[in-house]
Amino acid sequence: MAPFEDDYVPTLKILLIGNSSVGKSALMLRFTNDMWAPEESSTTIGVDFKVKMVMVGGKPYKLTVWDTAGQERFRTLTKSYYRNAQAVLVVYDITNRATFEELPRWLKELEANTASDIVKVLVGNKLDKDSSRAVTTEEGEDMADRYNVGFLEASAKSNTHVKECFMEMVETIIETPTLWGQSTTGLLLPRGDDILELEAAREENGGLSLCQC
Amino acid sequence: MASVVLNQAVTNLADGTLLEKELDPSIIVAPAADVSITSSPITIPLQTIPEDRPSTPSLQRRDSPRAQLRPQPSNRTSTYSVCSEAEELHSFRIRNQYDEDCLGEERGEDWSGVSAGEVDRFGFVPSEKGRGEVVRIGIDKTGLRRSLSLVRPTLTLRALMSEDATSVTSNLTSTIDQQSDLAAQPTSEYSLKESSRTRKWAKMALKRLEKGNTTYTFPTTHPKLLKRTFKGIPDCWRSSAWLSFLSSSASQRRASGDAVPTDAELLAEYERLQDEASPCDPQIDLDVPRTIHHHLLFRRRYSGGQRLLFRVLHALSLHFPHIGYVQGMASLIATLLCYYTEELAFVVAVRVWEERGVGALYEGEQFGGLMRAFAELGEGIEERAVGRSLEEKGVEPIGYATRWYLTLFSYTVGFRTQLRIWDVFMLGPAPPSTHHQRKDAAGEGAGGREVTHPILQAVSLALMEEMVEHQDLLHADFERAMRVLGGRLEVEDDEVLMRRVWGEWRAM
Repeated sequence: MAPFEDDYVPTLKILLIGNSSVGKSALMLRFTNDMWAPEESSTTIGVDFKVKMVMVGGKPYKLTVWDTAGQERFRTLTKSYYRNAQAVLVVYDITNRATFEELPRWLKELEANTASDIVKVLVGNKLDKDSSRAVTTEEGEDMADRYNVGFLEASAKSNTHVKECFMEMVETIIETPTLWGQSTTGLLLPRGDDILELEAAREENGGLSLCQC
Repeated sequence: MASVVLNQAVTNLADGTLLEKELDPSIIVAPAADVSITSSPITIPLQTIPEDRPSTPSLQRRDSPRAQLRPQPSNRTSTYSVCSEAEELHSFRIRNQYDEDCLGEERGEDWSGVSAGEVDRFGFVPSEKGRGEVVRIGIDKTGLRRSLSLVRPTLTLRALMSEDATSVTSNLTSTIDQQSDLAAQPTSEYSLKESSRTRKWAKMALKRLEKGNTTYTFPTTHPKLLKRTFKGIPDCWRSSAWLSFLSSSASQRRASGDAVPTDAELLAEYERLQDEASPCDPQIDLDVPRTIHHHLLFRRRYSGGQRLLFRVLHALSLHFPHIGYVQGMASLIATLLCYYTEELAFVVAVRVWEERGVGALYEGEQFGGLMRAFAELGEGIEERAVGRSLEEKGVEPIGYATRWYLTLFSYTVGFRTQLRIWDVFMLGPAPPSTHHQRKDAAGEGAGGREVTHPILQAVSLALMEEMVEHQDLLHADFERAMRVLGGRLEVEDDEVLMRRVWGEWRAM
C-alpha cells in the first residue's frame, strides 16, 4: 500500500550512525553506487549525502541516505541530522569489540532523539572478516532484542546483505503509516521532472551521477 | 590531592560521560603543570625561524611551566588530554607502531607501482577509478562544452620534505632551482605566469641570515602583497610566505601583550610531546591511513607521511587540551606536511589554530565557533537569491558547510584550488569594512556586519555563486542542492573563482 498518489515519488530519509571506522560510508557507497573502493575511503566530516531510487511493489521511492561522522566529538552535530529520519542503521564492526560496546550509547541516544516508531536496524559490518570476529552473532542478536531493533550482519566489501538490509528498511517504512506524517511537509518532495532525470540516470549508470558536463 | 580528583574525572570520561559539568577548570590545568616538572631542559632547535627567535629561551622556559606554553583554558571546561591508565597503554602501543616501522626509511615518499608520469605536480597519484561524484564549476568562455583536461602533465615534482629536518630554506632553494625546468615545460601558460610571479615574490622577500640558515619573510605592509596573494603565491614561495604571514600575526599579538609562544618554544614543545600519551591517539590512528592516501607521501602505512601526520596530530591534541583531536584536522595537517617538516608543520598548525581561528571552529562539544560562523554565513546569504532558495528548500549551512569550514575546503576543491584559497586564508586579511568601522566608530562600515572568518565566508559565497551559475543551484530540489553543495567541486579556472572571492571579501 503506497502512501501517495501515483505522480508523487515519496522521499525516505535513512541515517547511518555508529562508531568511527565501522564502515558506514562503505555501506552507503555499496548500496547507492554498488561500489567498493577502499582506496577512496576518507574520514567523513559532518555528513555525507547520497540519493538512490528504488522500486517497491511497482512504485518508485527516492531514498536519501545520510552518512554521519563517527567520532564521539561530532555527536551533538550529528543529532541535527536525525530530524525527519524514518530509518536509522546503527553500525558496528564485528571484528572490533569496542565498537559493539558503544552500541548502548548510540541506541539510547537514538531513543531520545527520534520518534518511537522510527525503523531501527543494528548492522554488524565486515562479515567478510568472519575469521577475526570479536563479537558473536548471538551477542548482536541479544543487543538488538534488548533495544527492540532489527538485526543483520553484513559486509560492504563482499556485498553481503547490504541491499537486503536497506530494502527491508524501506519496506518496513512503507508499512508503517505513522512514519509518513513527518515527511509530507512538501520540503522533501521532488518536483516531477527531477524524477525522470534521476530514474534515467539510475538506469544509465546503475547509480546516480552528478557530473553534468 | 589533585590527582585523586583527576582520577575521578578520568573514570567519568571512560564511562563516556561528558567532563563538562564534573570538572572544575582549575583542576584541568593541574596535570599539565605537574608533568612539566619532569620536562627535560630545553634545547635550542637547529632551525631558526624569522621573527620569533626568543632572546633568552632557556630562562623563559624555567620560569614558565609548560602549562603556560599551552593555551590557557580560561572559561573552557573540558579537556581531551587526560589519559586513563588503559588509554595511556593504548597510546603507547600506537605510538610505538609509528616509530618501529619507520626505521630504515630514507624518504617519506612511496613510489611503488607508480611511474613519474602518473604523478601530478603536487605529488598526488590520480586514482584510476576517479572520485565518484564530482561537480565541475568554472567559467565557460566559449559557450562550448568545456574540456576536461584539468590534470596538467607532470612537471618537476617538488622536493617534498624529508625526514632529516632540512629546513624550509633548503627546500626552498632547491625548488627555486627547479623553477627554470618548470618554465621550460610545454604547458607554458601556467608555468610562464608562475615564473613571472616567482620573480615578483622574490623581489618582495626579505632575506635574513640567522645561524647559517637563510629565511625569507614578506612584510605584510607591502602595498602589493594583498593583491598578489589573491593572485596566488608561486609554489616555491608558498611555505615561506605562509609561515611569514602567520609569524607576523603571532608577533603582533605578542607585542600587544598576549601570551604567544615563540616558534622556538613550540619546536621544543613538539619534541617533548612525543613522549606523552594522548587519549586521542586511537582516533588519530584510525584517520591517518585514510587521509590523502593517494599522495606519494601518505601511501605507506605507519611510515613516511603517515608517521609525520600521526606525530603532528598527536602533539596538537596535547598542545590544545581543550580541543584535542577532531576529525577533519588530519586533512589540514596533511596539506601542511606537503610543505613543511613535521616540526614546522606543528608550529604552523598552532599558528593557524590561534591566529586564524581554526581552533575555535573545532572547539567544544557544541562546536560553538563553527555554529557562529554558520550563523554569519546564513546572514551573508539571506538577502541573496541563493539564500532564499536554500531556505525554502530547508538546506542549512550545517548540512553542507561543516566540511567546508573544518577542512578549509580541502575536502571540497582540488589541491591546486585549495592552495589558492589557503594562500589568502594564511594571509588572513581583515575585510576593508572593518577599517571603516574603526574609523567612524559608528559601526556603519561598507559591509556592516562583522564576520569572524571573512575569508572562509567569502570563499563559501563565491562557491555558491559559481554553483548558481553553473549548476543551476537555484532550481535544484533539496537532494540535488545537497549533493551539489556537499560534493567535490572541480574548479576549472582558479582565477575566476579567486576574483569572485576577492569581490565577496571586498564587499564585507
